[in-house]
Amino acid sequence: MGATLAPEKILKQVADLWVNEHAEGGAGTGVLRACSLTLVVVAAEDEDAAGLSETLAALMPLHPARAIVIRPSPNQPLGAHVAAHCWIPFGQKHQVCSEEIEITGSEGALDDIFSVVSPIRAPDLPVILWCRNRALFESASIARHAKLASRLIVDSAALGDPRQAFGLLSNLVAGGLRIGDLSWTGLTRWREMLSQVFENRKYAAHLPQMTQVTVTYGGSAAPACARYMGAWILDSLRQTGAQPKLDFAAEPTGGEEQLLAVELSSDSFHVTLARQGETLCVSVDDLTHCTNLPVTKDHLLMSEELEILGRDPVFEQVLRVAIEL
Amino acid sequence: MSAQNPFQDPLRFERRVPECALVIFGASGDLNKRKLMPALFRLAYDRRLSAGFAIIGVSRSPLSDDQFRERMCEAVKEFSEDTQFEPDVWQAFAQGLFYLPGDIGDPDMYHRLGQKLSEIEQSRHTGGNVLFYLSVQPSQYARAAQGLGEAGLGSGNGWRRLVVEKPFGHDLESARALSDELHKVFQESDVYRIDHYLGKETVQNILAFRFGNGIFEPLWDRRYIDHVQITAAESIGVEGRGGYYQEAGALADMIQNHLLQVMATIAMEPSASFRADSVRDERAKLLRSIHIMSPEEVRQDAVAGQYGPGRIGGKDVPGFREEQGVDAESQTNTFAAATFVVDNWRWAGVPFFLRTGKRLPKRTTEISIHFKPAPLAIFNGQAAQMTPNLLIVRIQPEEGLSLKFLSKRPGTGMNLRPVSMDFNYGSSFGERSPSAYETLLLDAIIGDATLYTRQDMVEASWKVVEPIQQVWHSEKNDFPNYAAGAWGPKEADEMVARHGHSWREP
Repeated sequence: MGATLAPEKILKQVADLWVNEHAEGGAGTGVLRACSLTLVVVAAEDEDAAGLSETLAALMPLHPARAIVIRPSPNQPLGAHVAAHCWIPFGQKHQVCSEEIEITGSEGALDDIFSVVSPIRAPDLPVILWCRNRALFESASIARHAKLASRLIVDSAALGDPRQAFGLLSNLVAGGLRIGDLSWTGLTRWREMLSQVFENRKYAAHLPQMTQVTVTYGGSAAPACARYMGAWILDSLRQTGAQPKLDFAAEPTGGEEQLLAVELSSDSFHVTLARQGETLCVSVDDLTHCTNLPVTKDHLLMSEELEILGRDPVFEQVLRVAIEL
Repeated sequence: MSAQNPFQDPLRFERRVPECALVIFGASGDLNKRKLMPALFRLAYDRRLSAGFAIIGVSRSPLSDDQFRERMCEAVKEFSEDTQFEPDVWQAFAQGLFYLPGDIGDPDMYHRLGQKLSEIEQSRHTGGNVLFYLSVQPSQYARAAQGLGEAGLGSGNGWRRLVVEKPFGHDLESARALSDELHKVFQESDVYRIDHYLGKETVQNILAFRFGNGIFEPLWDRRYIDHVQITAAESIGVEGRGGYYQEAGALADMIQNHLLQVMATIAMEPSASFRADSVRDERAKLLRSIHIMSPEEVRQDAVAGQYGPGRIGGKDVPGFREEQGVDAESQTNTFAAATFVVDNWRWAGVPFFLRTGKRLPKRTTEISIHFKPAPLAIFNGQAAQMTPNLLIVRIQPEEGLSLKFLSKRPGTGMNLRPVSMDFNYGSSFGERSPSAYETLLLDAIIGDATLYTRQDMVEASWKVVEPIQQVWHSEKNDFPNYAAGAWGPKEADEMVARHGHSWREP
């Protein structure tokens, strides 16, 4: 008889974990159990277990969750174990802990695994599915599994050809799923900076006359983030009546695949956003303004996505435009 | 016009921040260095400010723009508690920093300021929007407003707003006189009276807690709440502010503004919307409903205190009268406690005990809401069951909420014991809370006055406090009446005891 997963057994392990944590916390200090959602993570086939664990540990203080980590690997028997992520907020004496349930099994057992996820999720709280597994994302079953969650989050940068990834995402959106893409999330600071420029009515008056948009990227082919950026600017400018030309420019010395700069121009007006190390600088004619641009890390991107529980209409619209590029 | 910005993404972007120039009078003062500039730099760091945002510091010190930038750079490095200093962000931020030497009493300074604002409007495209911040002595507020008015700076191409720090007058009459002076140049809707307590995350959370949840509001009245205690304790003394504090005292410095505003937030009726005036109308209504004490009631329900020498943390500390700049016979209250009642249907008969003081055992600000005990004692012989349920709102430090209730102790007997269910801001939301000044400065730039105090609220607070002040000023107090490091004078305990209660020790 093969191994099976019993939800009651897993929940019992979770309960025991908390009893132990409280006992180890000692008198006077105590352990605070924090949970604001269920985060189901499907690890990549070749996922570095330690790296993912670090990401979750960094994410938990931002969004305390019951994390259910599914690690599919060939010939792995079904199994589950629980652990706690704990931290002490600066200047405080209480230890705060969130729980992680790790489920292992072969890739062929994903259906069995997902059947267990529903009974062990934290009741009454949102469920977010973070799919880091390319095979699952490209399989027909993703739509079915994602239905248990309020939102599905992926990173199209890790899914190969961006256009193919956009097509798959678009189908899922059409099927009624709420989607987040970390390649899009990483653009928020860029987009906000650009948007700020046009809060100024004087600058906004130039928008209908914009004729050229250039998106510069590092790497050999335009990555998903560059395509999203181009699509977003194009779509936004079209709303003003402008019909600009969009070009992608590769910067061979630009290092890894990333967005390097964005330029919008007309005959009389010019705006540039450019990455300069860990800052992002916007230049409007001769005025320059810089802000902090921290290195994007998965836990920070996920943190932003976990703020959104419903549809993201701007993303969905940009996805439609990005497919056409 | 900003509605026509096609790049807006309200789901992900922070609130829209318009271009503007911020003029800080008293730019070389402590408030600017310790609070305003670090808060503004943090806003820039978090990309909350617009690209053309400019700051003009005005002060008497003869400085160039570059010297001012250097000083502010040092201030940001020294006083930014949790913001990494990024040289590139600073460089860009500093490009928008300007300085104008001048005296508030000098009419020429305002004309030079007008010229500087015009130049900045052209070079940084601020659209003529200007926020004036008076970080100067309160006695100079009226003169500054007058100077701005005479130079025609009270209006322009964009909006003009004025931020003033407390105290807003030293009694009802002076508060009205100050407002009259400000209103000669600025409409009331453009006057932002800052009360940094209202900018604190937990104070804002009181509104979310009360009006975002359905389960608490039905309990929020005289039927279920026995009494409310609000404590704002400081462990430090006057820290070199003896001269100022001697004029103000705890009652005027804390209760008249901060604590009555907090009380109003706890006790106000639900507002119809979260629009600034809607919320402020309800706060003002509550403040107007507080019973005004007669002199006899003041003697029963208000207690003044002043700390004498004592020992805190193994260290001898001086009494208030021994502090620098303080009169050896000073009658200033460094501790004030009062019992307020609200004359409306919701709160009739529910006492609100407020206390604040310096040199108390620890720094803490909290509101404790004491619910009535269970109506019937079914667990015989259990004294514990008489312990009331408590809801504690911790404002500082360790912002959060705790609900205390009774639970059965595991075992065979029916033994009850109090347990606490905690919501801790730092635990449930890992992200950093903005400082009160970040919140309030941004609100003023955006034009959201929800967390600012309106003139009618100021007047209502003074009406509550003034009778107490008058009695205390007319009688000689036997000061000092509590030792540094104690929870105030024993009369404060007796005041609460007369109502059948005792202070909760935070």
